[in-house]
Amino acid sequence: MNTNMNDILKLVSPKEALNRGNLFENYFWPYKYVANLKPSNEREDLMQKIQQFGFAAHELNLYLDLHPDDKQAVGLYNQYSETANKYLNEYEQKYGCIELDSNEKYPWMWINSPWPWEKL
Amino acid sequence: MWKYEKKLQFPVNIKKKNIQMAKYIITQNGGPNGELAATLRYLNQRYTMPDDKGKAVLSDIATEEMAHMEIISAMVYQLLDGATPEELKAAGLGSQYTEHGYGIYPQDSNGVPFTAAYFAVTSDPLADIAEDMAAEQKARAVYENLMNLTDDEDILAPLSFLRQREVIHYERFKELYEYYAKMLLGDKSYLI
Repeated sequence: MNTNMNDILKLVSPKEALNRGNLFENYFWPYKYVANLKPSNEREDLMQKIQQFGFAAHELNLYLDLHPDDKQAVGLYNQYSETANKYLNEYEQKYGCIELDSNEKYPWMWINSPWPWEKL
Repeated sequence: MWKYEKKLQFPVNIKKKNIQMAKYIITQNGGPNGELAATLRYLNQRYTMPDDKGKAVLSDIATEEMAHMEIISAMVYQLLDGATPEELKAAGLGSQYTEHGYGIYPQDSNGVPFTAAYFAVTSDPLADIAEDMAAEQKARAVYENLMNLTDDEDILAPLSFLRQREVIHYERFKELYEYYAKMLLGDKSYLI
């Protein structure tokens, strides 16, 4: 059966998806508490935008693994990935390296704190 | 191969030390229903999936589980931040401190170390994916138990996120299971 995303799935915004841990309204099954992330500074705000759009793209990735013919979902995946990359580039210019690519500066920034488990 | 991204999938910013919750939450790193078992289960099962959909779903979910193990470890690390050996001892973590100091070690909430015996690989896609569905439900149940043990929103937020991921992964595995049941059993797929 070739079901289109539109026919069966209602999506929430990337921001709400990260708070919920779920992009898909019809699969959402809350328990006790839903996050309401509020960034306390610009750095956190930018990181959360990367997390929001990266997460929404990842959700579509998992969906597309089982529905590779859903053209609309591929388009949305590309759109969210591009937005995540835009925020990622902005973050890296301002605060430091998240992913190694072919445009690294001297001195080597990759080792700089904070590492992901450390508080800002 | 894999490429590391120097960020968490979901933010962890725990302001209040909580040694007891650290002791409980570590089970979702190295316990029977934890994220390490999940990632190794899917990574090792994926090679014999009958078609590309199964290989893709297992590879991608396994990769996400590594990011979940990192979230759990970040939580434990921050929950123990500033704890003295005396406080650890009082919270029942004296033995833990003796063996591991402030390090993160894959174990359950009783200190039992991780073992590959927590998961199975049969190379039968229906048997393997049925286990994966059960694993997601068990992990969801453990996250609910953990959420019942705290009111701290800094702890609840990532736990709630991780619990919801179990819900979505279960749905993906269920979809895959039904697809393979139809593919492998045809008219008899109603049997399973």
